[in-house]
Amino acid sequence: MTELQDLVRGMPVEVAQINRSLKALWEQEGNVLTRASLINFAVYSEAPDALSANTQLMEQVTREHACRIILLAANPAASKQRVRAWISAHCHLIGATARQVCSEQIAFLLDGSSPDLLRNILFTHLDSDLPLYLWWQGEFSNQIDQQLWSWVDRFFFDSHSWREPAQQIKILRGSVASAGSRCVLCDLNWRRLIYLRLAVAQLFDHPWAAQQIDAIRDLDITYHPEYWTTAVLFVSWVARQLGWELDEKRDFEYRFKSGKADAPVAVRLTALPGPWIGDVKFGFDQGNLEVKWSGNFLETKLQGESQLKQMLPAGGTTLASLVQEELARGGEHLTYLGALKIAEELWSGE
Amino acid sequence: MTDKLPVNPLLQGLASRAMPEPCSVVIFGATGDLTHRKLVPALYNLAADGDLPPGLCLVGFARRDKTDEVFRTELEEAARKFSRQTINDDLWKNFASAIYYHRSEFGEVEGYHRLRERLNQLDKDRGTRGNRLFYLSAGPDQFENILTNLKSSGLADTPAGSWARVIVEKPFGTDLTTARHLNNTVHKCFEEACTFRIDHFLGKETAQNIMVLRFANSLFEHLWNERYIDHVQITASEQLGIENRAGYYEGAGALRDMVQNHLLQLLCLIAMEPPTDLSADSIRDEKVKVLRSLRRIGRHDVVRSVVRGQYGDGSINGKPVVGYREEKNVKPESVTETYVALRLIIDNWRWADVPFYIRVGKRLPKGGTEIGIHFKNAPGVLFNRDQTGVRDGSQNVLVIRIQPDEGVSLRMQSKVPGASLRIQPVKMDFRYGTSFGKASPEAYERLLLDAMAGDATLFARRDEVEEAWRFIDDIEEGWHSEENESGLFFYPAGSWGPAEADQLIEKDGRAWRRL
Repeated sequence: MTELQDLVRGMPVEVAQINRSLKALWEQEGNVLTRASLINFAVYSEAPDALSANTQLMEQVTREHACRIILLAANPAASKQRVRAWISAHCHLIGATARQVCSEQIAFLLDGSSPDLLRNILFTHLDSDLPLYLWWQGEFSNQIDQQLWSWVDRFFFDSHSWREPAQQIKILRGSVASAGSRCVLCDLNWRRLIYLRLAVAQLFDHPWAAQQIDAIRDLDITYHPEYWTTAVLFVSWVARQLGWELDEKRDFEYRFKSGKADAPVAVRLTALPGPWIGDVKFGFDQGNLEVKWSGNFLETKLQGESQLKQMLPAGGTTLASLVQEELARGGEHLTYLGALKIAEELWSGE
Repeated sequence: MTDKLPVNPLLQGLASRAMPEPCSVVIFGATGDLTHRKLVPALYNLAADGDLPPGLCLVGFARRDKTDEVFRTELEEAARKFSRQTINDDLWKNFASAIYYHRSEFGEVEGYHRLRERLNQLDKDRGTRGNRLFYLSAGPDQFENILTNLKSSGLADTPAGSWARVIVEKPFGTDLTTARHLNNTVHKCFEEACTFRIDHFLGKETAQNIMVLRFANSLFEHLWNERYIDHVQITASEQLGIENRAGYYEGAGALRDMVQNHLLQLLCLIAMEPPTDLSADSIRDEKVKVLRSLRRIGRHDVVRSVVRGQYGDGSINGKPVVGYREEKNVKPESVTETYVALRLIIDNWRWADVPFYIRVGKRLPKGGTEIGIHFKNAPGVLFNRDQTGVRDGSQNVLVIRIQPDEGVSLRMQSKVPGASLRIQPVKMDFRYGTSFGKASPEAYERLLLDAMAGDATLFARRDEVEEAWRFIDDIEEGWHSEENESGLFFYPAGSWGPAEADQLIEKDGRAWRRL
C-alpha cells in the first residue's frame, strides 16, 4: 500500500509541518499523480464527526472541481485550545489516461476555536494566488474577523439548516458589511431551486402562458416539512421577478398585490413528506401551469387554451451535487439578493 | 398571427448567456450523417442538461419515405452511439416525442407548403412561438433549391415577434464566385443577421479561449506583436485518410476543406485586434480586417510560399494503409492535395514581417490541432550556446492545444540544478482535463444553443467567408497556372508530410514544431 493510499484515510501531521509534508507527498507520487487546484475551499463546522462527513462529501465535489480543501471541525466549548491536523488527497482518474488528478485536503480539529485561531489556520494554509471559498455549515456564529472576511471571495451557507433564518441573515449581513467585504453570498438553499426555477421560467415562455403571467390568481406549493425556508425562497423569487408586493401574511398563506392584476395573488404552502419542493402550481382564470417532482425529473404541465407536457431534468439532490452546481456558477447572485429581501420578511415572525 | 409576446421576467438572472427561445428546428437532409452523429446527440445532451427550451421541436426534412416513429428509432440508435452522455430512457422518450419527420423532395414546392402547415400546427401544440431554425445539412447543390422554396412558401418570413434563421454548413461555396452566389441566394431569403454559417472549430472550448487568453490577461497583449514574436505555426494534422468522403474531397482538397475555413478562423483569432466590445459584429469586424491584411499569394509566389502534397502508401499506428490514389472512388491520376503547408504574411503594423506557417494534412503520424506562438530569442549576451547548452531556436513558445488534450503550455528556459550553469527548456502546462473536471459541451451543442438564442459570435459572417475565398482563389489559380502545374509532392502515409514542406520553413531558419 503506497503512502498515498494511507493518506486517503488521513495522515496525521504536526501543524507546523503541513506544507512540508504535502510537498514530500507530491515529490514521491508525482510520476503517477497530478496535483490540481483552482480554488481554496474551506469548510467550517461545529458538528460532531464533521471531518468524516465532509471528507466523504469533498470526495464527490473534487470529481468536478479541483481544489485545496481545508476542513475545519471546531469545538468552541473546549476548555483548552488545541489544534490537530491530517493531510490526505482525493484522486480521480481523468479520461482514458492512467493518470490520477488529485485535490489535496488538510483537515483540522480545533478545540477552543476563536476568530484569531480560525484566521491564522486559514491564512497559513491557503494555496497562494487562488480564490478562497468559505463554507460555513450550520448556524452562523460570527467567528470571522474583518481581515479574514477581506480574503473570502465566496461565502457558502445553507439557509435551510437555520432555525431562525431571518435572524441569521441579519447577523451574516451585518458581519459582512462591517468588514467591508465584497464576497458573494452563495446560499445552497437557493441553489436547490435552480432547476425548478428554470422549468417554471421556460414554461412561461409558452405563448399562452406568457399571456397569463400578469394574471396569476394563485400559487400552491407543497414542500417537505423540513424545507419550509426553501419554499419561501421560491415564493420570494416569483414575487420579486413579477413585481408582487406582500399584502398579508398568515401561517402558511400569503397574499401579494400585483400591480398588473386587480385581485391579489394567494400563495399557499402545504407541508407534505417527499421532495424538498414536491409540487408548484400556478392558477389562472382559465387553466394552470404545474411543475411536479417525479423521480429524477420535473414533470411540467400546461393546461388551458393550450396543453403541453414536458419532462425536464431535476438536477442532483445530494449536498455534494448542490455544491458542485454552485461551484460551476459565477456571478454575484443579484437575483438571489433581490429575492432574499422578500424572504426575510416572510421568514421573520414564523 | 402572433402578437409580440411580453418579455419573460422569470428568465432574468437565470443564466449568464442569452437563453435559447422555443422554436422548431427543421433539418434539411435529416437522414444524413451529420444529423445522426452530431446534431441529434447535441440536442439530446442539451435537453439532458436542461438547456433546451421545453417548447422545442425537431422536424427532419428528407426524401426517403419513413414515419415519425421509424425516424425516432433511427435517431435513438445514433444518439446511443454518439452522445457524450449515456441516454436516459425516460428523457429520450420525452425528447423524441418532439421529433417529427417530413418527407419531401427538396425541389417540391408543395412539400414546403405542407411543412408550413405542420409548423403552424406545432406552434399551437407545442408553443414554438412561430420561431423557425432551418438547418441546411443537405449537399451544397441543394441549397439554392431549398432556400428558394423556403422563400416562395412563406417559411422564411415570420410575423412580428417571431424569427426565422438559417444555419448553413460548410462548404460555403468552392471559390469566391460560388460563395458569392450562395450568399446572394441566402440573402434573397434571409437577412445576414438571420444567417448562421457554421464552422465547428469556433464552437470548440479552446478556440473560444483564445480571445479570453489574449484579452482577459494583461500579460500577453504587450508581447503579441512583431517586436517580440518571431513566427506563428498553426497545425491541423489527422491520422485518418479521406474515409468515405472521396466524392466531396476529390473536388475540394486540403486547402478548400480545412484552410479556407477552420485554419484561417484560428489565424484570425490569433492575429486580430481587440474588439471594441463582445458583440458578434465587433468581433467579426476585427477578424475580417485580418483577412483583408493577408498578403496575397499569386502565381509568382505560390511556389515559394505554398507546398501541396498527397499521401502515398505507408503505415499508420503500425498498420499498412494505401495511398490516396488507391482509396475508393479516387481517380488513379488524382492531383487533389491531402496536405498543404503555407507561409503567410499579414501586412499590418502588428504583424509586419512575422511569418505565419500553416500546415494541414491527412495520414500524418498524429492527430491534433495546435497553435504555436514562437517568441524571439533573448539576446545571446548572458547565456550562450557553448558554455551553457542554450541552442539557437530554443525560443519561448506559447502553445495553444485546440484538440486533443486541450490546454495551454509555455516553454521557457530554466537552469538545470547542479554546480554548472546548464540551461534547458521546461514547460508550464495548463490542461483543461485536469483543471476543469467537468467535460465541456461538444462544439455543436454550443453552436446550436447560440443559433437558438440569436448570438452569431461563433458563426462566420458573409464578408469573412468571401475574403477567405478571395485569398484561397489566388493560390488555387497559381497552382493551376501553366508554370506551376507539376507542384504536387508525395509523402508516405505516417510521415510528417513532404520534404518540400520542411524546406518551406527551414529556408527561413526555422523548423516545424514536433507534435
